[in-house]
Amino acid sequence: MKAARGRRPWWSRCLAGLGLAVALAGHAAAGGFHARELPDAAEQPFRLHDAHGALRTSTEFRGRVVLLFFGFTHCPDVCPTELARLAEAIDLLPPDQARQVEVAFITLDPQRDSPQLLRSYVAAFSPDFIALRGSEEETAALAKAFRVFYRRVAGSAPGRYTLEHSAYVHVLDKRGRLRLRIPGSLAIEQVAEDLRRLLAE
Amino acid sequence: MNRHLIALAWGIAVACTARGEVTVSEAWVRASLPQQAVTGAYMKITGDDERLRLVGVTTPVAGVAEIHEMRIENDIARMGRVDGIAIAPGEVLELRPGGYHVMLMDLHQPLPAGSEVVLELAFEGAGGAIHRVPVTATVRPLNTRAGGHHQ
Ligand SMILES: [Cu+2]
Repeated sequence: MKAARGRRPWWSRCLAGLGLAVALAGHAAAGGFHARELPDAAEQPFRLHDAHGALRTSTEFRGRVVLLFFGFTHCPDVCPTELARLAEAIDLLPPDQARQVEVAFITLDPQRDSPQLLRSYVAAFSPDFIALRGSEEETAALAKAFRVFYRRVAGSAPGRYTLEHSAYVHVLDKRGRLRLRIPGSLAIEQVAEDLRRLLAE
Repeated sequence: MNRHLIALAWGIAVACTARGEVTVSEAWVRASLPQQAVTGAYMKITGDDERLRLVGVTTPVAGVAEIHEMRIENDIARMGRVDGIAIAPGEVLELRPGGYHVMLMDLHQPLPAGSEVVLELAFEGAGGAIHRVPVTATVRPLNTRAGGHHQ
């Protein structure tokens, strides 16, 4: 591998360096993150019970970066794919940084998502992920605060409804401010880079 | 050299069996948990020499199986039922997370990773005849990503 690299002409490295410089300049213009940045970066509190029945509030997560994903367990592929991506992104971080990232899955479907189901669901992705569940009213209020769209779509029978929902992940910085929205199209390495950058602040 | 011969032999074998037969490969179902009544089934379907439509799926593990399409539009994940999916001759139709899937609803019991699920796909040929194709799908872990990670 080393020998092969040595044989490359001198100018190829210059070109690579130039490409990197251009890429970095492009980043700086966008604020440095791969995910979408929220211009106001306002503090975004939350207060919900987790799947073990404990009340969790946003203030307890100060000093850590929090990833919030609003979804539902009867979601065939967008929700599991997103949670699996977050687990992989965190796996790319060194252990001391990984410990400073909290992932919370907030159900948009408290009717079908019982605490027991939520517990085993998030555990399938990581033993460290938590699940949060409010009443229908609390869920609606929190979704509104985070500008999360969701809507129930009737299925072929009453219990078979599904949900349309915003598919991005919300990122709160160490001070509890809503900073980023991660779309599902962002590469896992870029998600990890953004997390590293936020942790370094 | 050998590989070319094998490929040639395989090509002839496929050509000989292709008539009137679609082939289904890499079929998998996402594992489900107790109380989780739905999941998705995914696979690759290779059309045969006539125009086909995937029009239905049945399985003993679920009360209902429907063909669904998943889309992300303006950052919103939407899912809807489709009546069928056309498959041109020789085309490979991929059912995968983020696209088409077979939605299994009213699951009779949880589907643990590593188990198998039998599905029967119904294809409508150009003349209106229905071909039924049995498929055995492997249940993969709940955290399986599109692209086959975490298997
Ligand atoms: Cu579906």
